[in-house]
Amino acid sequence: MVQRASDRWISIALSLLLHGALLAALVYGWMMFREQRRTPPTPPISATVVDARTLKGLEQPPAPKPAAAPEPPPPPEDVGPPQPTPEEKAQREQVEQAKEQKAAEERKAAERAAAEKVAEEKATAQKAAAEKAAAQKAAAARAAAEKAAAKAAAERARQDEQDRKEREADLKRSLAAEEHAEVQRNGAALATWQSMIQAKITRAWLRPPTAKAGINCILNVTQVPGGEVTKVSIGACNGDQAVRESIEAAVYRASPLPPPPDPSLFQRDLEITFKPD
Amino acid sequence: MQRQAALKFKSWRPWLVPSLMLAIVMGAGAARAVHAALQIEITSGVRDPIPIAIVPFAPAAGGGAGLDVAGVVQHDLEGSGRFKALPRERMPATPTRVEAINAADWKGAGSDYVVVGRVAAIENGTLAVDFDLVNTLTGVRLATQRFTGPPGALRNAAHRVSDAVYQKILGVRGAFATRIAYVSVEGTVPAQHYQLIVADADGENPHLILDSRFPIMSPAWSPDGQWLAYVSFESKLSGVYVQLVRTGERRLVSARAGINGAPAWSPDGRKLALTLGGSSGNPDIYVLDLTSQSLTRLTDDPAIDTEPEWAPDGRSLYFTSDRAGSPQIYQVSANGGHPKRITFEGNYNARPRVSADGTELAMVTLDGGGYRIAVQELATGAVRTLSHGHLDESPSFAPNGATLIYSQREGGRGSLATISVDGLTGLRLKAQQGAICDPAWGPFGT
Repeated sequence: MVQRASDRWISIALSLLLHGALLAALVYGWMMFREQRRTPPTPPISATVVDARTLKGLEQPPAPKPAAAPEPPPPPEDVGPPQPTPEEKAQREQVEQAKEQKAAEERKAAERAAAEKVAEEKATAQKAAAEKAAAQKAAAARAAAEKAAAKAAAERARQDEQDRKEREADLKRSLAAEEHAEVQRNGAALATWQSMIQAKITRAWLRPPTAKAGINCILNVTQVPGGEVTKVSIGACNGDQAVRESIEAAVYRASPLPPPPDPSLFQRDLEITFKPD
Repeated sequence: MQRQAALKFKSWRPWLVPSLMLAIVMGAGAARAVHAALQIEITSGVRDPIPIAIVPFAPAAGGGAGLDVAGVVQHDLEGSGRFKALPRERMPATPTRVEAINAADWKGAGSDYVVVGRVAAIENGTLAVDFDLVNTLTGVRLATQRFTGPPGALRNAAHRVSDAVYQKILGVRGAFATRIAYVSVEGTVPAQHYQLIVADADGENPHLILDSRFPIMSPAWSPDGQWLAYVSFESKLSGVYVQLVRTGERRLVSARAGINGAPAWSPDGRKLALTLGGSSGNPDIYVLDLTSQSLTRLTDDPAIDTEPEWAPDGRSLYFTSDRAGSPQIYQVSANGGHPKRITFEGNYNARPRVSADGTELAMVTLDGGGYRIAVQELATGAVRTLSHGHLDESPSFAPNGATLIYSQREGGRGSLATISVDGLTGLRLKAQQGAICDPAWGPFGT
């Protein structure tokens, strides 16, 4: 019985180990699956669906309208070197002034334009930066979210594993309890079976005169369901040839051996000790 | 096939694998749980003989000697007490060859073993007896053997079959192909007629060795089975003779004054232990060297010392003496010296005979109702009485130590009987004319 208990514990330990390994493999596989879904692989060819009509429109742009040709400027009159008159001078000055004003204005405008452009560029840059930052932020957020999700998933997996472990432990406990109850219940049935086999072999053993007290022989017997003895081998035995022949014959003569009261108790291997008193 | 299975396995859905592995693990666990063999202890059995079937042997073409070989084997084996033969009318078949044996049929008929065989005439009128021994429980052929000899030796061949079967199953050499010597007495005083007879161990095939009008006593076999020593009163006085059994050639080795009696061969066959009374009429034990004729005195006691028997190692002798007031058995060194008392139970223990392995001493003991055959274990001193008669005498061990032959008296007439050393099986030898007594079982190979 001791041997049997230790065997069972070895079995349980082995089973636990394997279950653990299986669980680990399952969890790992599940995580790999999640990872793959998060970062879909870039398809080598990407396509966008567009309306065929749009494509048609693009293919035939509207014909450009001929614009009116600008009037060429009048050729300059050859007036020789101008002679400033006070009027002319004043006019010239006026013109100069106007010119200067205009230039200034133009410069100003240019400057303004430049400034505007710079501003615009700056704004664009700022906008781009902002957009970039926003994108980065979003990416970070997404990454964080993903990370969190992964973490949550792992946590869930861990939780699942723990739950499973607990369920398994529960199952094992209840199985053990059941088995214990069964062992107790079966103990009596097993003892009955043993004594049934013992009685049949005792009746079948033609004990030779040389089978005296002190003789101790072990027979390893294999039976098949139905009780038919299929194999008998003599182990340690201090008996003579007559004893050996007789004990081997006894088991074969007792075949078929009686069945156990409960078919689930059936065991193929029997160890029969002949120990005459 | 295997490859296909592997491919199929590969195509299985991955989730199947863990559950499959789980199933395997649980299965392995279950297998381990029942691995320890169910323990059963057997402490007693039935003291029944072993059931065996000895199928009639195929006779030799032309009838042969007409001997029922299987019948002889059956009688031998049953007589040992260790076997019980299946009656012929209950045999499921009559095979004569091992190939024709259906082991299951014989097992069904209750026989653990089957013997089949045949007799055949081979060259120059020689007969061959072939036999096979099969274990019906295992189907294993345990023996296949042939014995050859002249037609007159067919009975001996049958006994040899018995020996082989006995040895194969029990691991002990059978003593069926051995011989016994005994004395037959016919008529009434004063017109009595004495004969020394040698027969097969089963009492069959008797041969006259010596025919005399005067008493013949105490035949003893030489270790090689060639010679018999005996006491004859043919010259009115007792004399010890040795005779070559095969030829009848004999010589007188001791005809000294007084009693010349109870010859016993030393294990090396060179000496005879004798009881000599001498002129004083006080019997003591002597050893006679057969080659030199020299005589050595072993005991010198005013009491009666007689019936010497050599220990198998030749270093000591057992004998009967009443030096303590009643007959008891003593042991003395072959070189003489002070004898040691061996038997202590009861008031009468006489006529010692030692088993060939030197472990047991057979004797005549006065046990309650009469003189009976008992065996004492020399190592422990434990004594068990085997026979149940009133006047059982002259025990003699079979050479395998399994059986004793002795004489008994029933209705005033002597006869011979055997008993197994466990006391369970007794057999009376076939009734002879007159009374028979003084049996001596010969060695192997006679």
